[in-house]
Amino acid sequence: MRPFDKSFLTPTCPAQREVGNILKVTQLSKSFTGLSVFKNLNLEVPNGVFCALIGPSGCGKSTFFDVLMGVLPMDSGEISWGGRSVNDLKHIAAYMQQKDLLLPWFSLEENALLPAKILKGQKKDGRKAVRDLFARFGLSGFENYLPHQVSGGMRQRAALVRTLTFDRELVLLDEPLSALDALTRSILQEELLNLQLEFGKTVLMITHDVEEALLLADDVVILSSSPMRLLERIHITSAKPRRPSDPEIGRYKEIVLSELKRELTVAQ
Amino acid sequence: MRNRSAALVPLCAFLIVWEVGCRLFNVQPFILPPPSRVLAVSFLQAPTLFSHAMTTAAEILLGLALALAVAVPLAISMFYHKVVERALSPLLVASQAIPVFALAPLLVVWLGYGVASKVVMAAVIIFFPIAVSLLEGFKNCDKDYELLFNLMDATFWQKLRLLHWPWALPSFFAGLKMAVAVATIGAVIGEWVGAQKGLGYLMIQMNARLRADMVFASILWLTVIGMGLWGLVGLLENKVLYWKKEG
Repeated sequence: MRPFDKSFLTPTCPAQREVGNILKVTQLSKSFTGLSVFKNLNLEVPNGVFCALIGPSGCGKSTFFDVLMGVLPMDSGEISWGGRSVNDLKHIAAYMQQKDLLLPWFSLEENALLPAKILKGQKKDGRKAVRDLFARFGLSGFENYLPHQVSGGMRQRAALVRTLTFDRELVLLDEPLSALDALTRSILQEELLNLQLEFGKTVLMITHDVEEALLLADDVVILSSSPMRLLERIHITSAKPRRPSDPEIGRYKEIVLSELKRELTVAQ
Repeated sequence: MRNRSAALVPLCAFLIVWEVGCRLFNVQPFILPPPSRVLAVSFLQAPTLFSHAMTTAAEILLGLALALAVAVPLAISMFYHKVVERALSPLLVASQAIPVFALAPLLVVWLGYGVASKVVMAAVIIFFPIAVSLLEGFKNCDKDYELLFNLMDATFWQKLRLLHWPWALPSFFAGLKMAVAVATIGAVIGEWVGAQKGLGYLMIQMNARLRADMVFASILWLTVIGMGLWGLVGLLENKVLYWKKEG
């Protein structure tokens, strides 16, 4: 018995969105000492789409990102970007983790300029771009502050600016907001959304916050644990910006939650 | 400031007991001079003590420079090349098992009565805490930060300059403080074995002449040098580690 009407879901990846560079993960497998984290995983994220991955904690989402970024080697499978097979997304995606990873000895601006300093072939007018982004994120006037002198929300924003200065089309976010308080989180959710609308980035975001996923994402992918599988992919059609109080969001939330709960009961 | 003045209480109590004891039991000054006499001699003989102190201080500072010049590149190469670490770390530990005092006579034979043998002696003592603390500091670096740099394809020097070196600095300074605290030992032992100048040399000379007051005055001056160095390192630490969270 399905707890909800399946026809409510639209098919994955509508054809009209398949323009530009598509991230395609085919039959990706990874195991640790015989224990399979995920097996034959398939995922497709069209250009400019905000895709949220949601699943129980410890289901292997972060390992998935590590494999995508080439931090961990894959066992088998294929990753392709724009139709071209790649080993990993190291040179294609910008990666942001839950921890802000700002260097405590550098000011916020110097931290944001780090990719410009290190990455080869980076634009020379890095400082101007960073200043613009700082203004955009309400960090103007705090350029010369050290990370420990500002709030957690501001640190996370500076980290986000740094992620953006990577100047990559694809952005991988691993629970970027989960360490923040509710208010800061909701403000930054708005920022993330504006950012994706404005810069047209393709975003793949791990989260365990259902509401966050529903507010931001075009596609919500529900994952199961051990081994991680794609349970459901829900295309959210509601126009952005969305509000938690929107009835449609409430409906989607029920679907996602019931799916997650079902998975948990099956697992137990 | 209140914390520091707290240290004065036991010190004063100790000095009073010493002073009163010397006078009460009429202890001969060539055996144990009262602190008042030591203090008086320290000031009255200041020019002599100063010129010897300068030699010892120079030996310590040069020893420090030599130790840094060897320990820093060594710690870096041990950190970046596991082979180097595996090859050298047992030797490093073994070097600490050798009583450094046993080396002093040899060093004097090899390097002469001048400053060089004392500099090397001090460097041998200082070298270990600096190298180990720096290496540990490098190793403590958060893996996620390393990942961030690796994803940017940062070069060896970029990682060292922007990440590992600043990351290791707090640990490095802890080692450096320990090093300067024991640095005086190296210089003084070197001078005891054979020297022409320095506070250690002065102590040996004065001890032979039963001038216990001058021996104590030399120790007092050595202490001042040691504490001065400690203070300097502390100042430098505050300056360099401006980014450390207060409290």
